[in-house]
Amino acid sequence: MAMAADTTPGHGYAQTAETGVQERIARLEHGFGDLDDPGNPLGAEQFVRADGERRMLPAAEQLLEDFGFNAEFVPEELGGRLRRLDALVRVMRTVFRRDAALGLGYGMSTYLAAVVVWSGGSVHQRRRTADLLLSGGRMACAYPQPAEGNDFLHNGFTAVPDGDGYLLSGRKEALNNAARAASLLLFARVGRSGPDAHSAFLIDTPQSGTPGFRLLPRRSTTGIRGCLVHGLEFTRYRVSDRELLGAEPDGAELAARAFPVTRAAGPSMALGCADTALRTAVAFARSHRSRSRASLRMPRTRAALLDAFSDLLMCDALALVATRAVHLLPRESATLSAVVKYLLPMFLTETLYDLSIVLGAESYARQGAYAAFQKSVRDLPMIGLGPVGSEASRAAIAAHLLRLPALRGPDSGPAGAALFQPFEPGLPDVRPWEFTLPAEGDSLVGGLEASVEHARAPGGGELERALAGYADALGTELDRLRHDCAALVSRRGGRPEPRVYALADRYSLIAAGAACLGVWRHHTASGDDLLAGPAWAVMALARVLRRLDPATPRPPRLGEEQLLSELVDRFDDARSYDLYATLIGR
Amino acid sequence: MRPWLCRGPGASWDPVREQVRSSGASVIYAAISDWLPDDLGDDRLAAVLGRDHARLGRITKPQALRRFVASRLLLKSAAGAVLGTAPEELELAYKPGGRPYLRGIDQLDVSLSHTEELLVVGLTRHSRIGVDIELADRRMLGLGTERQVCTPYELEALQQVVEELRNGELVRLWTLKEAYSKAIGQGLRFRFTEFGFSPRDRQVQLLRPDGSPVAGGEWSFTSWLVAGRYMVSAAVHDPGFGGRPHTGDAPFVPRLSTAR
Amino acid sequence: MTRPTLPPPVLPWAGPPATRPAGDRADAPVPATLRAVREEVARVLGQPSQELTPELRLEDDLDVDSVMLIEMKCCLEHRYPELAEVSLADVFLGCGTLGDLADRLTELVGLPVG
Repeated sequence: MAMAADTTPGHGYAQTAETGVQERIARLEHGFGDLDDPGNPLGAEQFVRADGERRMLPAAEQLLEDFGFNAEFVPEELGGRLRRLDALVRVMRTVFRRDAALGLGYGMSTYLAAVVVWSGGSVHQRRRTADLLLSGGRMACAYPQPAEGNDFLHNGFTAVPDGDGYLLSGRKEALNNAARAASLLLFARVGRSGPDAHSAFLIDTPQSGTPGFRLLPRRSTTGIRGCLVHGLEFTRYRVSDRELLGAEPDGAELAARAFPVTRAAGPSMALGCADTALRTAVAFARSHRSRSRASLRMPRTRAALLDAFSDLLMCDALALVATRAVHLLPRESATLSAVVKYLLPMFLTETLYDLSIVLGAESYARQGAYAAFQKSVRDLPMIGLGPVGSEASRAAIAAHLLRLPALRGPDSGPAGAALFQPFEPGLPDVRPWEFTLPAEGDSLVGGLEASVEHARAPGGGELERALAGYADALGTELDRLRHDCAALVSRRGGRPEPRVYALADRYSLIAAGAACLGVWRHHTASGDDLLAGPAWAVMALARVLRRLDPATPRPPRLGEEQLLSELVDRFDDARSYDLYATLIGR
Repeated sequence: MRPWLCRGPGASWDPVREQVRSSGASVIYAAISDWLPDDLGDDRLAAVLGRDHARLGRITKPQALRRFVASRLLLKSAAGAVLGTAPEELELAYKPGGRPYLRGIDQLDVSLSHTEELLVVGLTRHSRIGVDIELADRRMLGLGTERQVCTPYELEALQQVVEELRNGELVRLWTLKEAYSKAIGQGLRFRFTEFGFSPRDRQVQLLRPDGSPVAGGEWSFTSWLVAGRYMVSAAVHDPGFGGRPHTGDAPFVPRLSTAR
Repeated sequence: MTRPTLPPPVLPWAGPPATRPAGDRADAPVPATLRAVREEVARVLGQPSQELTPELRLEDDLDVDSVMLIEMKCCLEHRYPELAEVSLADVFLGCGTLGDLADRLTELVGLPVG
């Protein structure tokens, strides 16, 4: 992996930090060991078995505890290791490659709560939460529910003022970690602030049997079956005003300051899950004779695997930009993270359907060498939370388009290379209060013209020319989108919905394409590295463009061949199917 | 829930809305001639077809062209009626494998099929739907089709069927497989011999090649004989997030508010 | 500012679009497989095979549906028994035109070019 040359002060420290991240990932991968080794107590087979028994693997939890895994979620200034969001995602992916339930139950569910404390808690609340996490404790959280919900997101809490405190009542049906969390982050409606206004509370989880508190029975789920999902019920449970987080009624603002982080990071970690699904499909194809229907040499299988790999690379490019934008473009990160939250679950669900036809009847096997696949199929949707989860994201994107229909970059200038560079450390600190300020422009999509110009530079071989053609097509799609946004905004009468939602979908795809072009343009890779050549970007862009225009020409055969070769190499070497090619296991 | 005949753009959509509201899905069929506009150059047609309008110039076979126009009009009108919006406000797009969907609207999933002069549209507020229509007596037996299409279990079950009903049973199995394959967006890539369906007299289930059921009650499969001559099948997926509790005046397509 | 023109677009059909940019094709179809394709497709469609030229698109020009594809595969299997081991998708996926289909056949049955 190439390291960027840089002369900024502190670069040496930042570079050490990147080395540190890679070292931690390597240590964790080594601890987990090989996925496909049936003798590995932490191999895929064991996770499948534990999932069948609806429990976590104790050895896996022990590994994470010994690793001090919770420190990954605690900011450096509070004694943890959290510094860059994209680095956190990379570390989390090692867990998600094994088991989504472990990733959520041990990590992400706690982080979803902690992130609100980091950005909005008092000094005391931050310290206590950091101490809890660093000693291995867990948290659970209940975000304010969206306007329309499905069961999993149903219900909520109210907090009635009572003297200098509140009486908390209500229930939430399904919270991960509720039974094991020492600390709870809850959002509750406090009536006097207005019918819809929420406030946030950080409370110690009451002991079982405490009056006014009830832990509801464990819920069974079709996916992430090892997770302990329980409901919580409060009945006039007294909380003091010291347990308020922020002020009344800061709830919406506090949640809004968390979304750019959680919406970008969550789906990005889930790419680890999809990686394992693809790996399982490749294993299946590799195990067949060349003339067999399932073999890699057959067009159908080859196409399915290539499409999946292309999509994973595209998703990772988009997620990379969104997680780095949290640091670099805070005012734009609300929109970018909404794009990730909207697009990735959709892409990954489709990818899994496409891969299931490679495995055929084995795609629903619950035992055997390929059982990890159907586990991924069941786990992945639980990370996206179904159609309701995407509504809020789509609404955020729609609001952005209606506000800034010209989709130009901000006057302050284009986004720098740092937005697009996977291994580049040295990101500025996160400034959560900027997340909710209005963006002044659209750096990613507004910067597309420059990337198109770069791609159209003369010279280069067949793949460079294909990339230029695709970049051009993407530019045309952006022109069309700008035109349609302008027309919608200037339209007299009628509502923007549903038309604006179609525009939000197209915007998301164009953003994904722009991310791919940006990563290609600013890469510092060399030699045999996949990122050093245009093949991956050609293949990823082809997938994006086909979704925008079904008449998009196919990529050159050379691009397919190079990506297929990489797919097979990464299977044989056990390297991750994302931008990082991380060594897995060993 | 039975497929509903839509006689043309002027017909009431109330039955379809009611079907989607109560059972979650609706299957509509119509004659191409009832949905073909007089003037293919009409501006309003261009507005309704949107991006699909560009494709008109590329289809040379007249029958395919008529069918393309009528099917898109039918689908967008039906979807618009259920969503409470004009058809031109919706954008019909296609996944890389060719599967149609309403861009930006995942509250309603759609599917499209046709044979001869009939069109079929499927709509669901659950996660996915696939529909297929075929002439109930389309010749499939004796052409080697059953070997390309059936699992070993199905081949055996087929032999148990009385000879004069055997082709019809094969057509039924075919349409179920097509419907499922379209619902999951796989089309041709779907290996028909690796997934099977149970014989007609039982509740239709997805089966492994050996006849054992695939676990999970999220998929429902139904077949109907329509207009006395056609076999129509639908595959509907409901992953059970509790479904969308769509009742009363709550809009299908959420309204934008100032909330984040 | 002129943009480089993309190759003429082709449409997807139960799979990704097929025709590659001119000059990027595999070797030109072997006459034997092209003849086989024209004759078997003619048989299924009930059309004279002389009308079936290689650039005709299966979907937009010939209006082929999936049942016909199965019939075509069965007919081609009578000529090339090794196709029985090959799935329907592996024969047709990505083949937009009759010429594409002939190319695919050449690959699958491993006939020498010439």
